[in-house]
Amino acid sequence: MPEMTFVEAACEGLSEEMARDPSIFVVGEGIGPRGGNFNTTLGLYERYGEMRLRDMPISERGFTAMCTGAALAGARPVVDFMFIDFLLDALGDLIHQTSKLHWLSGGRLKVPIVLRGCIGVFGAAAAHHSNNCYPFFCHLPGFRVVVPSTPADAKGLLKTALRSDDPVLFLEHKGILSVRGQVPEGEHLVPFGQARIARAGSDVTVVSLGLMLHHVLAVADQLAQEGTSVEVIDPRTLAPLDMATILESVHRTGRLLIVDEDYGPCGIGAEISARVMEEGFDDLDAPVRRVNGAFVPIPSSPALVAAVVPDDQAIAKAIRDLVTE
Amino acid sequence: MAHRIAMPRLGWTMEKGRVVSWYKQVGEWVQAGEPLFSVESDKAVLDVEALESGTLYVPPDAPQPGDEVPVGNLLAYLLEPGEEAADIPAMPTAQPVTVAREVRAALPALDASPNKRAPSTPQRTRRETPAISPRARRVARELDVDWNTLQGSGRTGRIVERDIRAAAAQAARSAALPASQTMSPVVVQGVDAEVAELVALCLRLQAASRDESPRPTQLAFILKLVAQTLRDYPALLADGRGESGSEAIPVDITLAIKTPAGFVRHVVHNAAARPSYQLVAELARVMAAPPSGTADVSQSADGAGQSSLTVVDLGSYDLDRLSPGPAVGEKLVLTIGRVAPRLYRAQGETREGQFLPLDLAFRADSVDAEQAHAFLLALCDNLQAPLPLLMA
Repeated sequence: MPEMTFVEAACEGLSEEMARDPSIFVVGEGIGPRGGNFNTTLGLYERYGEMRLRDMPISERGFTAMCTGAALAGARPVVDFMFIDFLLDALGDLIHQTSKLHWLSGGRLKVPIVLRGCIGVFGAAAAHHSNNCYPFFCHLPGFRVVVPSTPADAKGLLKTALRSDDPVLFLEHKGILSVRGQVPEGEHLVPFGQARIARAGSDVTVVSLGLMLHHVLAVADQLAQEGTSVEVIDPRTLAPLDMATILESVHRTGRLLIVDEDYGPCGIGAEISARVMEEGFDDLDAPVRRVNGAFVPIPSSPALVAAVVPDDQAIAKAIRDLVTE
Repeated sequence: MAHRIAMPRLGWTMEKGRVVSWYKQVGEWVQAGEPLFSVESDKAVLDVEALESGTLYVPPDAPQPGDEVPVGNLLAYLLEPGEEAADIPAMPTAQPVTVAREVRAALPALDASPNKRAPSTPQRTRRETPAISPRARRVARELDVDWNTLQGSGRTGRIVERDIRAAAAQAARSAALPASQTMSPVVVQGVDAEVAELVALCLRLQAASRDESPRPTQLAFILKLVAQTLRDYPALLADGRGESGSEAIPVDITLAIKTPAGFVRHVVHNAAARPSYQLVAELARVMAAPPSGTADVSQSADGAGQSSLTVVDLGSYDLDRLSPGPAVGEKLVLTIGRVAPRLYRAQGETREGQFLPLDLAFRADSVDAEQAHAFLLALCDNLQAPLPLLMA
């Protein structure tokens, strides 16, 4: 099986779908000849040309709304925001039009649009370029929220996103764009709403995503040497969310920790915690715990960033505390 | 309030500097924005302007022009109108601080785990019953544990799953103890049966047996005799059923023996009524059976619980006697050793006989010792003169 980086895998997925479906086109800043600031469309302009990859001016509201229109007219546009933070410029139209038109039209209209961009804290990008955003969209009916954490999932989930008839947020953590992994060739599709058990264990369940997932796996290996068996779950998609896998795991372990770089209040950890409390109450031997980033805008100075993002020590302590609690 | 003038950090990497000269005199009024002094770092000499207005006051112990001063250290004060030098409180020299540490110390209100904050709800009333996790409650129901008296090992003193499981294990151990404490000791009655006639009979039958049929063995005949004798002692039967001597009662015997394949427990059904050659064939099959997954190779799984007596063939282990006594579930155990020749005296003569060691073990509270004794002696008689029973 070939090995490649996360962003290469996503690019391969996009390229395959563009070859398969001529209605797919990509807009964004620098996604044409440049191949994307993060190499998200590297090599595609040479293959597919100006009509399939079109650079845009710095006008997110404009080109996003335009793509909503294109989707309504029968195309399958991909809006590549580069930094997902820039999507917020188009938020009003995304919420009122893009996510609601399917309902407002009585199901006659569909908006098969993929909104992709990089999330997360990495590389001293500071407050305006480090948002995670996923909880907002999980809170709005109409959006699919996809957060791959491995190269294989980057390809598989993007292919599924491009075939979905719903607006999909495809969010890629900046810190894992160059993580390498094995990626199945050809028609590799990962369905939405299917979590993956990244590591099997029996003492505690930890749900994590993005860059944090990789930190959690490293901490789990370290804790295994201390005799603690950690089960790690990668949800892969947050909307729809695979609660069945999480509940089955909690049924076995009795303890759940959610490690999320994003903020605590009203985050995905809060949602998962509420769902487990509702549907798996009798399986809980301890309260559901969360590790989150500090509730502040992300600083610029690396020393300050280190203070606000969960580190391996904080994760390990949280797991140890939960297991003994 | 006096304004503090400190050595400024004039570049990212500047750690120390020197004051080159002051542009104002001590006691002179300084207006905000005027150049106040010049500083030499390892890169350049730069003028520093006053950010506030006031009267310049340089404390006597302050660094002098030319002294190397760490960034942040006190150089002078700008006193407000009406302030005196004596009004200034003593200030410690600034220490370099790791930024991250400072930030973390200021972050308790913004900590990484908001759920660790102390609850703002009013103090709850003391619990009447101990706190218990939902999972522990469920497991307690499954294991039938009363958790109201347990001590919890959870963080808030709550009872958690491990406490329930520990309590259940403890209860199981306690439940097991009284039985063994009140169980009476094992009684073993032993006698060597004289079996010369049985041995001779067996040899004759072996010589006469056809090649294709299984060879008669002493064990098969012994089992048959045991079963037939047992029929006369119904009180010893598994469920004490039937009348003495009734030939209709099926007697099941469990045979524990070492075969080439390993240790085997085999139930011989209806051993008293079936003809000897059938028992011979059955035992030959048991001895020839290939190794199975478990040591328990009963013909039928439900037969084992009903058998009246277990015969342990110690001879197959080259042993004559064995302790301890019957396990739970076994009421009577008869161990048979190896037939061995021995001289004995009878009626004024020395004779050679063949003797088979027998031990009958049972718990005094579950078996009538007198009946057991009578059975054992009757068995000895039957082993000594086997023909009437074997030919029946």
